Amino acid sequence: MSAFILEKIRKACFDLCPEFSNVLKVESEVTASTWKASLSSGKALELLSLCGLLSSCRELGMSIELPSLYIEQPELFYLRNVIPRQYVSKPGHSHDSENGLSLKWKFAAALTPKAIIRNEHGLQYCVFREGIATHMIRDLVLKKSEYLDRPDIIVTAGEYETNFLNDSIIEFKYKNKSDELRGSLRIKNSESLPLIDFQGNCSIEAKLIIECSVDKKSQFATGQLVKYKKLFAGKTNLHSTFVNGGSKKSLAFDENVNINLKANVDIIKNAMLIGMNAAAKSLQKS
Amino acid sequence: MASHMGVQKGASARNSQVEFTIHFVLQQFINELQRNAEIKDPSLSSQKQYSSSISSDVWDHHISAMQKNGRELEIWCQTTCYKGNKKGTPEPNKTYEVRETLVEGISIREHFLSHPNKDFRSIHFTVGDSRYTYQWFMDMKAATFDFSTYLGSTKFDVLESIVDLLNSLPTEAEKERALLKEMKQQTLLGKSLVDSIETLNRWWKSGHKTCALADKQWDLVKMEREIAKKQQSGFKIHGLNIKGRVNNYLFEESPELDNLIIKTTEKVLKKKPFLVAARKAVDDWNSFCSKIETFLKNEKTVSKCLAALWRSEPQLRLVVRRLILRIHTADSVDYIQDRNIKGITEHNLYSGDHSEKQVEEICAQIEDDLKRFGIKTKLSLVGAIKKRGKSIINQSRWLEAKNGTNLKPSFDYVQLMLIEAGYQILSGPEAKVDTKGYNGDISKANAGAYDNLKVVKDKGGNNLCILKAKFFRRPEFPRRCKEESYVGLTMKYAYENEKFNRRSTLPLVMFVDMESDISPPTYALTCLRSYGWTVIFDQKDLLNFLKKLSANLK
Repeated sequence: MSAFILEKIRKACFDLCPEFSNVLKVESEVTASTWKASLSSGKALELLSLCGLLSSCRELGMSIELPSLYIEQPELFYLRNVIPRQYVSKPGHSHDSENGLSLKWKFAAALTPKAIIRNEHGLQYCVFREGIATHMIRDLVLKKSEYLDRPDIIVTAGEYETNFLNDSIIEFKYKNKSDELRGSLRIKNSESLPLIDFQGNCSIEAKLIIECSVDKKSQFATGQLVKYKKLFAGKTNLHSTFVNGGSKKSLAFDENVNINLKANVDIIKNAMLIGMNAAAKSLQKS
Repeated sequence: MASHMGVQKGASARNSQVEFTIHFVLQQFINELQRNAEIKDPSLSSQKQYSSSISSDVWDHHISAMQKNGRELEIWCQTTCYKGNKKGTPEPNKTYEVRETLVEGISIREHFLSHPNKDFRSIHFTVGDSRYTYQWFMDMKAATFDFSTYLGSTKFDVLESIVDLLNSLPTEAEKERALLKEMKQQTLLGKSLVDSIETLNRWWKSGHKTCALADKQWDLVKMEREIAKKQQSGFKIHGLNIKGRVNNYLFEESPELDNLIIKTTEKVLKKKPFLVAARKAVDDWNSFCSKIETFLKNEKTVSKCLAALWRSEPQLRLVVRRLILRIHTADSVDYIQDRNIKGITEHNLYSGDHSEKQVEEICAQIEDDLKRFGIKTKLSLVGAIKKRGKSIINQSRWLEAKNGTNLKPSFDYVQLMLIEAGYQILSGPEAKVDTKGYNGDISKANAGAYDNLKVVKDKGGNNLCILKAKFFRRPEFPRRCKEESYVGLTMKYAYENEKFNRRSTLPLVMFVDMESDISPPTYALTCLRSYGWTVIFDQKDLLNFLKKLSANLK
């Protein structure tokens, strides 16, 4: 049953975002945890929500773009926006590149947004999944505190760039109007963040958070949103959407989108398109 | 789930900071070499991959540079941390990591010796309390790496100092400034760093010679690799999953038709009475809890309850000691050696008869753990046991059946199989076979003989081979192969009068048990074979091999 629903979700994603089809159709060990694992992992629903948001943005006249990293290496799209860390004393003396992906590209994928949205006023927004590495690094340096929470989907204003200085160092930069953060990371397996240097102290302006759940308890989602509002507190309002594959709702969110995953592809697709309309509108303003 | 995982996470965090510290030391070292025009264009990197037909290793640091004599230079470095303990005694579990490191040090000699137009050196750093390591490790590191050096002293906890200093500093730039400040201020850590850098400089200036013994050990591996190639065994490679099947049968997850699995499971239960006691407890948890309440009816305080439970009769204590050590937390539980109670070890923790003082000490620690988590009264202790105890005991059953240090279901199964086929299985001393390693010859310290091995004797009374059977988990396959490779090579050869000689003609047979759907990495199997083992996966292959050995002796 789960496999059948996953296939429907995948088809709905294709229909919502045909320009992302290369990413959506790639098959590998990395993509298996989205399309071949259990529905309850929530990854497929996250991807559906992402495609729903992008499609709604397009409907409202915004442009959407897949960063070139994922055009060249579509599997990387499925990695979280979190710097890979070597947790627990892993047998470190044996080299084992997991999933066939090298560490260098995993670092690049962690720092690169999954999609770029530009509204009619020329403002750019970047979409991240399961974390936002640059913000986490910023907080670690400036607030001396490392948080472990990872928003399912988060959209911020600004631009993000990465550049390999060589095979063992990656530079990253965030820019939003005249604000800038920059730094470099050493590409290695490490329990602690292998940060070489960091400059800047501006905040990263979060505009939208989407939490997804196959059937999460609403109190849990509410609790997470409270945390995120604190973490990403800024000058602008943070719009929030709760996408739930069951019937749960959370009043803490600006809207709740309940998707009946047992329905057919067209119903799922339309429900997502309509459900994401308000979230997309929050990115429309100048 | 309460486990030692939190301690291992702490170890990972510590190891990252130590890796940075050694990176810093090496950077200062190469800066000095550059200042003295000994080298130019140096580069220093971390986590350098070394691959060959028998290796796939990550070395902690790598230096490459051009020397003033016009020859290229590569220096490969590994670091081992010793956390130490208050008792100042060696940690037996560290043996496995050291064997791996020594095999890495030997295997890389192939790379060193295959490029005669370049200069290569290997350096091993030990960071931490050197009393935590066996003396023979220190001697063998010196015999396997071109340079073996130590950071730290017994005067202070170098690992704690490094972590305290660097953990709160997020960037390398800040960490480097902090370490430079330590050196300038001549703190204990600073002095250790200065010593380390000066030791490296002295080594370089005195000629930075290569380690002849390391090259000689590589020659042995080269010979064994050629012998292994010629043997062309044709053995099947597939996993019997003896260990998995024993566990499944133990937890009644699947029926079993193989009588040897049933017999092996019975042997496991005899070796691990906890599994029998735990099964009884969880099968009727209410009755077990009533038994505990009755047992504690005259005890009023938490501390008296804990002492009574600790001292309970042998069958009950196997379960209750595990309970009270874990009941307070879902997270990290200290290893017993880190509780620093003299005489209480992982081997007697759950079953031993401890002295008054030991019981007092361990119960005081447990009471502190309980207090920190809000369990301060007899009522709350018994309540916690009733509510969470069953799941803790079930987790322990599962963990200990899978990972018990003395449980060797794979080896038990193979031995039972050979006995049924008419062979005799003896220990080394019983068969009058020497199972010590050449590490005991090179080091003045006592390295002891390898004891987790058996000798197979045929019906004619002939010793046929030295046998080991072991379960290899897929993620740890390469590590296990390296550990056992060290055992193989050191057992096969003796070191006397500055020469290596073959110690005995008995073949070494490693019976590999693994899950049925695994394809082991080729380089790991080649490593085992190149270090002297005949590697067999299949029962029939083992029996045929032994038949041939027997026939050859007639």
